[in-house]
Amino acid sequence: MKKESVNVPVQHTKPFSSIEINEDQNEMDNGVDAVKDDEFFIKKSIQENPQKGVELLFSRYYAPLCNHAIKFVGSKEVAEDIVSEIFYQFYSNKTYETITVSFRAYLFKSVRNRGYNYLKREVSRNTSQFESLDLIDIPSEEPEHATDYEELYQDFETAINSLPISRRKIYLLYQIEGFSMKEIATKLSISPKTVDVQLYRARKTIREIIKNKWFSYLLLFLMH
Amino acid sequence: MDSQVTKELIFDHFRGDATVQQRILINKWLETPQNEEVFYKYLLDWELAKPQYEVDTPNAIEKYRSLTHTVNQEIIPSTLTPSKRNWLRSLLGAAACIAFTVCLGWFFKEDLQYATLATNPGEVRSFTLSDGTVVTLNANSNLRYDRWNFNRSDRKVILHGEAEFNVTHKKDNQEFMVKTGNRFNIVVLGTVFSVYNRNKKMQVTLNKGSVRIEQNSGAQQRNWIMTPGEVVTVEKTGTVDQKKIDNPKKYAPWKDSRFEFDKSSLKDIAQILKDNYDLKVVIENETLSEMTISGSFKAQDASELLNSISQLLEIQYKLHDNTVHFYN
Repeated sequence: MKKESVNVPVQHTKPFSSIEINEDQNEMDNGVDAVKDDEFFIKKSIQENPQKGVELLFSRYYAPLCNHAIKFVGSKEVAEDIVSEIFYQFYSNKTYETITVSFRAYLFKSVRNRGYNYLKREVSRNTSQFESLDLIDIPSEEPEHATDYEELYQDFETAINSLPISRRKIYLLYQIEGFSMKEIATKLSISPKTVDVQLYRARKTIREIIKNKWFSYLLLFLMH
Repeated sequence: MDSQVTKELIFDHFRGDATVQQRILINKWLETPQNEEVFYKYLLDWELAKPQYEVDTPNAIEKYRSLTHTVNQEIIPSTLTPSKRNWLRSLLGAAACIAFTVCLGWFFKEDLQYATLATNPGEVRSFTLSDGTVVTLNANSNLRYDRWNFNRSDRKVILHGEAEFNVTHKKDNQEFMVKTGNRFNIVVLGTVFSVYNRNKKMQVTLNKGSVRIEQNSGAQQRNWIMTPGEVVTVEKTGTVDQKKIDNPKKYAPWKDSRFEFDKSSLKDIAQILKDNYDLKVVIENETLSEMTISGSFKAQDASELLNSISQLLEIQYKLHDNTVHFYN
């Protein structure tokens, strides 16, 4: 899978596409009803034409949702896949007919939950030498507190930042910018073998940091 | 109290600058649904103000549109109205539509073809199939069957987990088959039996009637015929053991929330807790995990079972977030 840029310096362009419908809010921050109501227009258009309405919702929230997802998964492509899938299921399962919270709350919650479980799976993978460990068994779950989501991705970022400078550079080039090992080797005039070793160590460090703090029970259980 | 949670505080938290105390405050505040709505509003503002990268929404929406488009095609395949002028276009359209439907059908093959009955952790439930067979699923189990062919061309079901079957006998003597993974089939005519199929281990206990177990993998085709009161166990390794059940009480005790232990080690019980309640178990040390329990226990839920276990073994346990810790 090709991975592209995150976390690294980014261009600050207007994050929203031009399809954005600007029916909202002059700072309606504190009014709770207003918070829900600013989706009134979209809600109505979903009632009239679900396909059009959900597309409207998509164009409105897709970018910020991707920006949120990427913090958990560390890859542009994975983040976008996750968000698109959420919209797809939202539409095909007619979720919009049953939810009681705002669309925004539902969508962000879904992203956070999937991001959390994705990171958990990533961290628990390859922890042992046995690649074939049956990890499908790990049930998806939620962290205990809502604020844990932020703590988790902040830890993920701290873990990346804790890597020795040169190792971190290689990790970011590979994981985030999507360069191949060969390309990185040429770029930095080192041997591909070194890139390989550095990547392995970087991943190991990140995994260990995240796993020890968040998912330590996984390993205990798998060894039972 | 609510007034203490401001947009600034939430933003501090997003930035990673909130203290532990402040986070406790936020979590408390978030227990109110209205506040949760406000939280996600702030989160949206935050993500809009500080994007990580530039997202190509128009491109993404195109992809999304083509995906949902196929869904619509599937639902209303008759939207194509052929006209004489455009016969070629309609023909192409029809072909595309069929192709879409076929692709989609392929994509959702499993869902279209199979119906699934399932139970949650801790839940035991009975279902009646269209042929009159009653299936009681133990916790955390699922049963799949062919939506279209079940009770027509054959009676086949696929079981993951644990279940009891009370199979209706049909006039034409049509067989009822339980598939468990890819190695063994259980073939019956009309009978009552229970099947355990978890963690690559399978066990069949026969109460009434007669059952045949077929091994259908590899070169060797072997059969085991069971008579009432017998239990056949197929271990992970593939070894098969057939014997008379020593205690008839052991027949599907889970049906009345009973657990039967016979020198079961805490390690074995950990597996049962995982199977039935989706609990992760951490045992402090080896000595603990080798302690054993015998006897029959009634327990309506996980904590009742945990209490009995800890009292019997005189050990402590802590249940936290679906994880059980056993310790001295």
